[in-house]
Amino acid sequence: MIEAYFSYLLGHGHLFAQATLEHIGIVTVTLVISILLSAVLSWLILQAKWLEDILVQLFSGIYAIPSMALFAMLIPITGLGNGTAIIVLTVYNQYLLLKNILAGIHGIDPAVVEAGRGMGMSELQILRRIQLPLAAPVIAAGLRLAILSTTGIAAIAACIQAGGLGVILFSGMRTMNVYKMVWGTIICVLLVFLEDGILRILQRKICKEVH
Amino acid sequence: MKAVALNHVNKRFPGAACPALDDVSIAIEDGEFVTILGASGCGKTTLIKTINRLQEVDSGQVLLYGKNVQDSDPVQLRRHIGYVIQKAGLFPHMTVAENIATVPRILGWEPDRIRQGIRRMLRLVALEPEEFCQRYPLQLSGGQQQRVGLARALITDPPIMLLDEPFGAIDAINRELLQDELKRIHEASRKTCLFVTHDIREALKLGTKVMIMNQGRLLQYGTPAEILKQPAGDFVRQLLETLHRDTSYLMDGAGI
Repeated sequence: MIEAYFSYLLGHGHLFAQATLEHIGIVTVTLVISILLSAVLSWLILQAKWLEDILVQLFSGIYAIPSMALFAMLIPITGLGNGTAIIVLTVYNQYLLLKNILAGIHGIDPAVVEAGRGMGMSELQILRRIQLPLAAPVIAAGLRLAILSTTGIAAIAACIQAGGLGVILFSGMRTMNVYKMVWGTIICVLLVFLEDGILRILQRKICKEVH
Repeated sequence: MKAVALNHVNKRFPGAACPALDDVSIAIEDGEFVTILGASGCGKTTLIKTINRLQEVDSGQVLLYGKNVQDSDPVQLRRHIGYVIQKAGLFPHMTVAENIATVPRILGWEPDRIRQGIRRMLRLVALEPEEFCQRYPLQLSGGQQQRVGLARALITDPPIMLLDEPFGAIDAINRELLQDELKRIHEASRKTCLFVTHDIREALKLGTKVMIMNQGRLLQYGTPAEILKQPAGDFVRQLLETLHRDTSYLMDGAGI
């Protein structure tokens, strides 16, 4: 019984490998853009506090839209394919990332930041040496959420021809192919574990450097 | 030359009923230990924050050794003014040594000079370097944290120190000890200190000069003896009466 699953996996190795690589591609590109965008947005919010409510409300509103609906809305503008998928996934991530970055920074004792500023640290030094290291655990929690949600929703993006593991899952559902559904799911879950592990290593390295 | 001079300084926070600083003028001699006394929200903290430009004045001038602070870059200016706040504000993710090394590192001191400075400062505030260097702020008592806060502000040997109720959250016995040590440090270094407090005993004990403020106005500036002998106006008199009332009430109660 289990042998049948493994022989199916080995027999269709290229299919699974290609889908997995595509999936990793979408997730990686999405995460890189998401992190950069959320860094810029949080920086803007720290400069102009009135932006916080507007942006967080906006992204929480978008986050509430089901992915299928958001894909459908964007197809007339950006067409089919992984470009549209990356846009949608990036916008979803902004809610998770922004919320956590801001929660992390707001959670710091104001006296600590005040002391740093009063001692003559520049705003950039305060951000790099005080705010980011102290907010790091909360920001990392947001990143983990973003990775999980991106890897999951990216599978749905197969319905707009974005490629990835969703292709295998959807085709498995259409043809009632249990092997495809099971392996597609398992690989998705393994991907999340892998990404989470990489993030953990990165976090440890960055924390060491800052100290 | 005066160490610190304020000329007709005004400051009002948006939406506040009364100004935080109402036409405040004062000239402080070099080496003076000035305690700033007044009720909460009377402008004491705002006053010292205009000196290191954590607050900007609406009008008037703040001069340090004759130089208008407006002409200095605020970040550069602050690196040469010691600043200690109530809860010490130590960086919780850094050790005691790293906390004290903050400004020297920014100023680019040699590692050896920083290491020696840290040890010297810790001894100055009566903490054993071997024991405390590698500890984190959370492993210290409130009094010890405040000692580290002092060491961190003193390491660059700034000519002016601003202290914003540094001992406000410390128990009475440790506060006494810290006051005595600060007094000793001041007598040895003759730095110009501005020390905010709402504790009249502390103000009279530490200050070579005492500054009394109410509702943004400077009511009296003089030596503790002058203030006790000739209180300027009702507010100062009332403030001094609280000093007597507390003890005499207790003494009466105890039949002394």
